[in-house]
Amino acid sequence: MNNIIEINNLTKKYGKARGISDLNFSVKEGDMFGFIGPNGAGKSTTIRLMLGLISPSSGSISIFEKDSKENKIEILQRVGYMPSEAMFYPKMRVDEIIDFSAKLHNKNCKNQSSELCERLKVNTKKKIEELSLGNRKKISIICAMQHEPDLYIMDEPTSGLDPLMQKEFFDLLLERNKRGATVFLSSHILSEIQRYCKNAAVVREGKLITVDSVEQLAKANAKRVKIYGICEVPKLDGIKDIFQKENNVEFLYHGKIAALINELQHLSIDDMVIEEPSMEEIFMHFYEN
Amino acid sequence: MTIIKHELKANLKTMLIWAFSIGAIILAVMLMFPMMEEQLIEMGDLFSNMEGLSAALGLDQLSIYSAIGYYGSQVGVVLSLGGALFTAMLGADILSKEEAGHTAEFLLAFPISRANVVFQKLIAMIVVVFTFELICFSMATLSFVLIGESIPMPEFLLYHLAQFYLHIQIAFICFGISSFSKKANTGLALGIVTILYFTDIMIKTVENLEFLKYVTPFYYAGAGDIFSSGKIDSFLVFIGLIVSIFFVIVSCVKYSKKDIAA
Repeated sequence: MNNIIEINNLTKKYGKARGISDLNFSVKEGDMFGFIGPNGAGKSTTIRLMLGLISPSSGSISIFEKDSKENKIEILQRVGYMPSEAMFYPKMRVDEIIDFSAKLHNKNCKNQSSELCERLKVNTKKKIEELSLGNRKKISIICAMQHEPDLYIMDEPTSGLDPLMQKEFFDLLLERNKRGATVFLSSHILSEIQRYCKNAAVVREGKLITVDSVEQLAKANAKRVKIYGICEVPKLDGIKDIFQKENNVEFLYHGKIAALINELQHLSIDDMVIEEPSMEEIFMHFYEN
Repeated sequence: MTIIKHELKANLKTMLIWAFSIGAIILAVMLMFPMMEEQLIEMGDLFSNMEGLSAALGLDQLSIYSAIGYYGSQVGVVLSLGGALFTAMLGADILSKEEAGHTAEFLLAFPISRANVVFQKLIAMIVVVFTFELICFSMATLSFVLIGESIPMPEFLLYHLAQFYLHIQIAFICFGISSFSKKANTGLALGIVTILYFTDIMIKTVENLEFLKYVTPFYYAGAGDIFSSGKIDSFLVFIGLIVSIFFVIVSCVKYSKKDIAA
């Protein structure tokens, strides 16, 4: 499989705080790739660099195996981008915006756009200024999808959408993905990444923390351990995120299971549960150190 | 073409409001001419005693008793200054509104180069300004017909062409400067027009400031010179062209390279 996106030593410096440093990762063709990080981690900055809205301080990006700077127009023809802020010209009507965006792609997208409008329940006669954030997001989805691109770049796409629309949106994405399109999905909502993505990168404070399959990320060697019958914490390394109650104790354990069992042998426990932690918890993990 | 059409549509209403407002003032002021003809003779004497003011209004070269003199001195200010305010705001806004309104993220993610965006916006701006001038010109012509005065051609046409040239030059200057900005620039636009306009007034009223004529385009577009001589200072027009081209290149280079604000 070819790399659809390849990011090499990408750095963008802004004044002091924000920006990203030395980012390296790649996204394979046909992947649903999650890009996870808290607000301000540099997700949008990375995406804006990919689209050429801003220029990197150093490093390079190649998309469709072409340098993103040299071949920007060619690349953008095959990209559908959904910005995190769905802003349009307030005085225009929805159908005018959709038409405007189809024309800028130089494509007749009438069939696609009317199907999308129907599935997302969009009233095309309304003016942009009358729309709520959720409804503007839907217009954004249509503008990113109607020309059937090969790569979808979605920056926090679900914020503002109600759960039904979120489901419809992911259904659409999965359909496109099945037909061969690659999806790059930035989000801070881990459950949606866990549910829909195959691989993911985690960023924090402008640095790449890890890239792996979502399955591997979810394992991450950590277990959530709940012990009933005692309330003191076992004396072990790698214990985090402790909740103590009257008759039970709960924690996140990062280490060898044998060591845990060995330690627990001497304790008078009634019952215990060891389970996979949720991705949220793992993320907190990455986030903490 | 898509962006040109889009911009024409977006600016149509504002342009019509400005053009018909200025056109209406032209009409109203000109319709008063027949009623005021007698008073104007007295006023003319008055003006001739106030050198500074009459020079500022171009009355050192124009006779306020004639319809064209009245037009140049009383209406000229409304057209040149009003039009300059409109085109300055148009130029300052047409590019920077994308970043100010957060629509740049939408527009610039399409497969279209920044230079192409700048180019299409410039074309749209020229068409808007030209249509504005055409409406003002038509209403001015109408005003002469209504009061039954003949229009001195080609001076009248030359004067309106000069206004177009002045206004487009101001629009280019504001367009160029706005490419550096990430927000709306109305204040800047109004400031530029005010400074250039008062520079022209200063040249006409204060001695030894003649050299400033190379700075302000209001100078070559003044009614006084054009109606009295039937000519326009071609060297100043040439400078205007250089200035316009300079700001167009600046905006193109700057906009192609800049980091677009989120």
